Amino acid sequence: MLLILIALVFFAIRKASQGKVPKIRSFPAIEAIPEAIGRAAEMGKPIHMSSGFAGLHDASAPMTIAGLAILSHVAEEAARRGVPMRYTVALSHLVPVVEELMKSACARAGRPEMYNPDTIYYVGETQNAFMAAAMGFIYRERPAASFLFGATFYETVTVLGSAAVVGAFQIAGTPRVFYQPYLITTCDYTLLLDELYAAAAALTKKPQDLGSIAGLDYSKFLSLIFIALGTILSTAGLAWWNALLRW
Amino acid sequence: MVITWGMLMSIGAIIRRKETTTLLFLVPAVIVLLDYCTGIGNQTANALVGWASALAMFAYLLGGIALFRYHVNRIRKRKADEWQQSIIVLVSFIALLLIALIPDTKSLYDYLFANLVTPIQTAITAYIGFYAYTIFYRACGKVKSLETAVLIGATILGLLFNASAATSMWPILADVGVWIRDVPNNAAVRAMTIGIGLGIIQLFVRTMLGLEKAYLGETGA
Repeated sequence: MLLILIALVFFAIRKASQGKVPKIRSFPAIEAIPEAIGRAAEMGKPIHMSSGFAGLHDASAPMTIAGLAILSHVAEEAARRGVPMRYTVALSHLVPVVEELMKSACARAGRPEMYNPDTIYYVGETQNAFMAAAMGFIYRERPAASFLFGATFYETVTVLGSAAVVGAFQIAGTPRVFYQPYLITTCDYTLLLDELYAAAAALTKKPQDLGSIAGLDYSKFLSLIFIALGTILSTAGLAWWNALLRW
Repeated sequence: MVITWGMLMSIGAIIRRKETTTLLFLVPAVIVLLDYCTGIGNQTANALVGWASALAMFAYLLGGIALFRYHVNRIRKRKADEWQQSIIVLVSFIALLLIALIPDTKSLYDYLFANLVTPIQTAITAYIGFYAYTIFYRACGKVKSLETAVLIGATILGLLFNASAATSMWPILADVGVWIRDVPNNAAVRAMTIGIGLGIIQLFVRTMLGLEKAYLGETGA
């Protein structure tokens, strides 16, 4: 099954790179990033960013990778408009990755002088330190916008909560199921669940990237067919099917 | 054989190539995936996972440098209302590090941890409950659609279901709460989990093809 799903995504990417580029709906959360940063530029205030308390060393890595791709886009937009940023990070191995990401984002924006290593604030390896540092910055500096994308854990509640208190424009996204209600109730725009992966791919608007989103849709469609088929066969109580499930 | 600067630069250039980084991702990923699905190459996969953890440990040094650089800069620039806090951070960091390194000071380290670090951590954790309730309160003021009303209604029922006093007064709440948890909630969580899994497969293929480079500090933009 896994091989079939991988093959489907491959097929969609290949089809797109051959010229059959699929039409992908826009993501309001991504479209709203320039608006949020423009607000910060007008107010003369900084922005806060984070990818949560997760890194690249465990099962949360795919979420962190998708989050970093979007944060790089945010950093580029902020550098272009000369808006100061603050990226709070709690995992040391992310520090060099984010440094490079910020440096290349500033260079792409044509403002390499906007890169400042102090933008990245490493707080130590504990979640409580991360929460305290993020909340402290939000209450002291009162950022105009706050971005949280990645594998976020219970720091989601405090970061979103404190940013809501200071009236920051909030855009956030995480595939973590249990934090979806917090996103819906506090953010102006959200990327719910697997939208984060799709949005990360949609940033570049390259045919291959758009093809990978179409591949994701094909695999969802195939999964739905399997779910419907499985439900019908299980309800019918066929012996060979039940034996196959037990195997 | 003499290793020259030029040779080192060439090795660096090879490592930085897109193909090399993609291979460094792909080979361990396939080995671990094969082990997960079939059990083949279990020892190699376990070793690779161990290496990843060991490599992540080296990054502590980078983190320490970043922390020092940030706070020393703040003290040097006398950033208003913040540089004093940086002194506290650096003094605490150095003091705990030294106490941990000096032999026969375990009792002092344990005392500081139990009486200083743990209470601070508990206090910060308490914020979660506070923010969870304020976020819920904010959500109550934002009921503009049927979906939000359903969310708020389900949250109220969930809160009451988990409060033993409420279920004692109104036993029907227990049945309603269990139904919400086991039927609509469970079905939604399963659907979400399938969607997330498919998203991870898409990201895996993108990384395998070198389309996704955020983990290298680059983007495809």
